[in-house]
Amino acid sequence: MSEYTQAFIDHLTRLAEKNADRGALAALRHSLAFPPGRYPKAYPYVERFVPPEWHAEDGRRLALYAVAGLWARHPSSRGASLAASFGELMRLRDNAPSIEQRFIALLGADAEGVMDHLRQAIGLLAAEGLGLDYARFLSDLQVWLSSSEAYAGHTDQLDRIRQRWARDFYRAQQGPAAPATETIDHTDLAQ
Amino acid sequence: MSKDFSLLDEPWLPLRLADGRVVELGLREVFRRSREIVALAETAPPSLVAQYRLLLAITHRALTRALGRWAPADRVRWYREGLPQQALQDYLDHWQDRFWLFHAQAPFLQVAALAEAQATRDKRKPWTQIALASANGNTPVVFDHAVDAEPTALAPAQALGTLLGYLQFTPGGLVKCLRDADKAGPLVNTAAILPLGATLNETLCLALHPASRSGEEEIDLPAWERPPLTIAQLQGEPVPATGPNDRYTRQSRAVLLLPEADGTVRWLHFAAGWALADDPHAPDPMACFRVGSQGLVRVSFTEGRAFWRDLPAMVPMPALPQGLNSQAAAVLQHALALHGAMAWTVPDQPLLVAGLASDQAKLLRWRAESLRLPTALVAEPERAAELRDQVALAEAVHRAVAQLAVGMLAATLPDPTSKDTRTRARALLDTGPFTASYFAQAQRALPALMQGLAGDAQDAALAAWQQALRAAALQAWQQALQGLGRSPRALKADALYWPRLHSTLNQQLPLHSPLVAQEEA
Repeated sequence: MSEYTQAFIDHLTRLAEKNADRGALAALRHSLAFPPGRYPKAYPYVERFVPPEWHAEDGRRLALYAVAGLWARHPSSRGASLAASFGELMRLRDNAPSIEQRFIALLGADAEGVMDHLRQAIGLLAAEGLGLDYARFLSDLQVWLSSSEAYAGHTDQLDRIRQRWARDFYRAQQGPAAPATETIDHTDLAQ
Repeated sequence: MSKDFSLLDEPWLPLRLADGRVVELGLREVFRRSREIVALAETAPPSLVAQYRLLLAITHRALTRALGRWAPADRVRWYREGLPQQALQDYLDHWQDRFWLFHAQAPFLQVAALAEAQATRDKRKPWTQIALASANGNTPVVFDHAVDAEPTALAPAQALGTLLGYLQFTPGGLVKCLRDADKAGPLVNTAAILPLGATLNETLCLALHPASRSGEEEIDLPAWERPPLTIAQLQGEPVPATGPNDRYTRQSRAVLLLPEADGTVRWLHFAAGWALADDPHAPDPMACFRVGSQGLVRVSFTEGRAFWRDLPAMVPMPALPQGLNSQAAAVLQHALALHGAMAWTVPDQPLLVAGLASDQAKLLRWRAESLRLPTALVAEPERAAELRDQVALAEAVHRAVAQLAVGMLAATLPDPTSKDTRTRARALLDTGPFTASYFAQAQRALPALMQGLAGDAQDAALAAWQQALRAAALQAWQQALQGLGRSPRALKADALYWPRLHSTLNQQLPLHSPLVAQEEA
């Protein structure tokens, strides 16, 4: 997680903390109705973080707008990843299968479709008051929203992110009392 | 047929010298220069083992002929100063008439009677009949385009190397000449083990079997000291080996090479050999036995099984209080006895493990591996037992992690809880890289473990070993994951089993730093 990412999150936090610029949060929230980076009223709050060499459809730029919008929807930070918070949500809701189904759908989503799932997910977390680590979320989303041709190793990186999200989700969903050992059957696996 | 191609004088045995050159020498020269020669340079593992066995049989008989018996101190002296040349050369001189590759009455390790016998005299076989690496008859192969009716020409030196390997490693089975089926060679389906020294002289001293008991010097004879085999012997009942010399030179098939006018070999006569009867109480001196589910199993090269997993069967160690014990090869005991007589002053004992694995009459694979065994490890039984425990730990971790991996694979398949699904998952895991990856990775830490156990840094060695096993398990797990792809279902299975994997590793491998584990997670 870079300083740059953290600086952006700090910037968003200041927007909410001071409550000075209600228009800002409203504009960012409203930007969620558009594809990331396509809502001009959000530009004043985000574009200054976009280096000049990034083109308009750069995944990293899109992720800044996406996270800004989602933050405005649910401005609550804490040291748990989105997947872990979502896993906790499932546990709090008596392990409702629908939450898991949503999470699975989110994991399977590509750059085009992931925002729909994230909007729903953040909405659910907001309803339960569960915050998340937005800085880490931004780093992950910058990969997720990049096209697979963006750079070498992108697919592997995205795979690792998905794997981490899945591990976070199920660990949080099982809670602290997860079963420690596998049931052993005694068929000999050794060759 | 006149006599031709003496093994004593013609250059035929490929050897590596100290300066790295590979040369071919005759037997007289081999023994004369045995302290300059580093090792045999044969590349086919069966022939390599057979050639060492030939040299050992000659050495043993020459010493027996000259000295009768010898003491451990003699072996130490020979190891340091060289084998008694006079005895060796006298012996070769004495038996020189039996070391002709082509000879009318007594060709070397062949049966001259095949040229006259009714069953064989009109039947010629191509030389590929005795080549373990070649195809003949109806054997289906991809790359070997040999035609039985038109065999290529083989130089006598190559024919000899081929013959030696074949007689030792041939599997039992159909022969259809003189007898329907014949017994296997002494090293069939065996990973033969041999202690190596820095020179050929040292190797021969290390692996030399003990002197015959007083009055029994003329019982265990090599093939060239026996009368030429007769057809009646070939048709007779299997005969147990009289001892190592007999095993090392047993003519388990009857072969007669037929030289061409230019001295090469294309054809041969072939028949059932002087069959070797199994004797469970007299195992081959170069074979190790590990404990299997149904008794002792001869250590061989099993597909996909890393050889060091059988290390406990190779290292002589104290008996377990209960159950069967693995048996180390006698040849290793001879080497360790020599090290003991030298007060364990040589730090490492390199081991050559080479051989051919077969299933019935089907030849599967041949391999040659080398291991370095610190002598201090075997000098004290407790240390050897510790090594056994650590190899067992590697097996236990593999078993436990494989069990979890099967569960994870099953979770990605329809109906994860059914027994059939688990069976399929297990088959998936077995055909994947999981096991090979785990043991290959762990093997890299093995030399350090052995050195550590042999030295004073035992605790550090054990911790490093556990760390290596953990890393190997995690890598193997990653391999299994890659085979699953990245579907949400696979991600879910991974996520569910990931904490259990770590919990299992923590249980099995308590000697690790939790910090490292966290970083890896």
